[in-house]
Amino acid sequence: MGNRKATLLVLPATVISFFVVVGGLLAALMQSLGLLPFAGPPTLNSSAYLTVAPDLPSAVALSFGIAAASTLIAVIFGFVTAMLVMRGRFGGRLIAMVSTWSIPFPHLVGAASMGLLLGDAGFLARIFGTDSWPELVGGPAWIAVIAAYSWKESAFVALVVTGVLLTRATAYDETAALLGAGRLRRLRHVLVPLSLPALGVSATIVFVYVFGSYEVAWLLGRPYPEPLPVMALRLFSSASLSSRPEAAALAVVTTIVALGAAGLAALALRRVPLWQ
Amino acid sequence: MSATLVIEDLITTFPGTVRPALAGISLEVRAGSCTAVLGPSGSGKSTLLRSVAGLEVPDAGRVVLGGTDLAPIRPEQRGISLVSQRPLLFPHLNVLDNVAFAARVRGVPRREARRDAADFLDVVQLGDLGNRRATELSGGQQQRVALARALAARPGLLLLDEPFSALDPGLRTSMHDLLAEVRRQLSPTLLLVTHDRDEAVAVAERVALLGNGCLLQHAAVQEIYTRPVSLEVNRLMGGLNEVPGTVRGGRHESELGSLALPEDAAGASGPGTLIFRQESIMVSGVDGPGIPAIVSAVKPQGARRILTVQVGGQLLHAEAPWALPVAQGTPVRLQIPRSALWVLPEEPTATTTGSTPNATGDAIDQLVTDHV
Repeated sequence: MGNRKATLLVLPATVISFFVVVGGLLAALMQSLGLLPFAGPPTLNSSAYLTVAPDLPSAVALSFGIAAASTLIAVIFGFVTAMLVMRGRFGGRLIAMVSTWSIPFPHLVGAASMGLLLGDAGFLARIFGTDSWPELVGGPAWIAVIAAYSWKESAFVALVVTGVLLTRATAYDETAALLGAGRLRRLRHVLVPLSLPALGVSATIVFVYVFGSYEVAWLLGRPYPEPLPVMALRLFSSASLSSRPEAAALAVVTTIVALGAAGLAALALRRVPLWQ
Repeated sequence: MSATLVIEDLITTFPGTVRPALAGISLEVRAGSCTAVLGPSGSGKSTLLRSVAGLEVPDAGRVVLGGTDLAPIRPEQRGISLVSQRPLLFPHLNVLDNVAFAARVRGVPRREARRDAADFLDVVQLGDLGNRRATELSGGQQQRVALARALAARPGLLLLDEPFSALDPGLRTSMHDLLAEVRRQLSPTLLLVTHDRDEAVAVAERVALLGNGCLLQHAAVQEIYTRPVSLEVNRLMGGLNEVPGTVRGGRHESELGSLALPEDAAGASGPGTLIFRQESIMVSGVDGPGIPAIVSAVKPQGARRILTVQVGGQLLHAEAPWALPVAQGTPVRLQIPRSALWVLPEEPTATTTGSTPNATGDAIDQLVTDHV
């Protein structure tokens, strides 16, 4: 297939995506700068940004922390799952089936399930006793939120890494074994380096997604402090129409941080030998 | 860096199959020697190598390297390296670090490992490409690096699984020369899998011929060509001439007449098939000496031609140079050197072979097993 034909084939999807993403971003940017008011003439101003500014540092830090922790755990579990699937150990097919089972579930369903499992009146608390049950849902460490994202996204990471490794890792693994590398050495010197690009890309996607999504944190988190997307949602759904520019300002900040993270990840990936 | 390999009654069956991929293979490869494992596709060549390397677990039998039974030893601890058809250079490492891989995973400091690797790159004549990425090399260069990397692990046994089959003929020849040079310098024990008879001859001093998971014959190169233990071996080695007849008093009597047999071929009297290589027949014009024949077909084969000739009711095949003016219907004369003749006793079935009563024990050291 020629490049031109391939370009034509992806063009419809690209145009729609471009229209939605860029159009949405432009609308948010214009609304946050007072250029799309509900009433009165448009006037360029930064009052929405100045209003949310006091809460921004804690919101950004909280969103960043949740996204970073969720991404790290998802990458570790996803990679281990991919290794088990690839080596066919402990019923590789069963593990593949169980781990990918979480993918079709909506995040909201996953979050609700996690709440029923980890809440202080949840399934696990009833088994192990509610007296000393830690504050996992709505607690200061946001454990249920991180657990829900990690559970859901680890399957995505596992799927990406397995797809990349399955066709070639066995041959490289056997080659390394016959050069004297034991299991841990093969993991360190062959399998991890071969997986790095796939891990980097999937980790970036997971981070950006978690950073910008609100459902799980809104359902399983505590009321204050709020992560960026939860705060944006609250302001967007507020009865006061004047809150809309503030919600748009938070959406713009979320986008900037997410794009910055993606840019840093791209720079880091360029240093990975296999990516080059 | 070299050890004797002994394989005893190796049986390997893949899950879900009835017929074993290896059906009781026994083989010895002496330290520092090279044996080519030859056979058609699906004959079990690669399975034999993988079983020796420990990448397949055999159902029965033993693999002994340098006097050590390898059964309880993991692949990474066997002291065996493998170069396969694909170079499989690690794409995240440069050429030098690929060759230094074995030393690095042994815990050798990076600088020392790289110095050692540079020496092995010199052996494969790629000393100046150490800093290149593996993906920047040509197919032949990658295969050289793969060979250097395997040698740098200082294996007791080096397995080569059709390592040159993806290369063009010119490059393949240069790799054969390189392998000869490596053998001269390092004397590794080599077990080479190939489906190319010419490659087996060019590289190895002995050939182990496999068919349907059985070892059909293991002998020196010339022996397996001229003294096959069965018609199947003769055919697999490309032999085209089989003349039924009877052995009587050291002579074979057939449509070709009464031909005196060499001493090692003149065994017990009785029915026997006379075989001889098409390359050993000398074809001359009708005025020349030898058996009169008529050319019935001419088939070009590279620099020479294969003639199908008729002697009475017997069809024979002979190689002839392009310079010989022959065409269909041309009368010619055939001379078959006595030393090229070999007789195989009549076999009970086409698929079962047995040791030849007229082959001496020294000449053919491998018994033939029945097919499973």
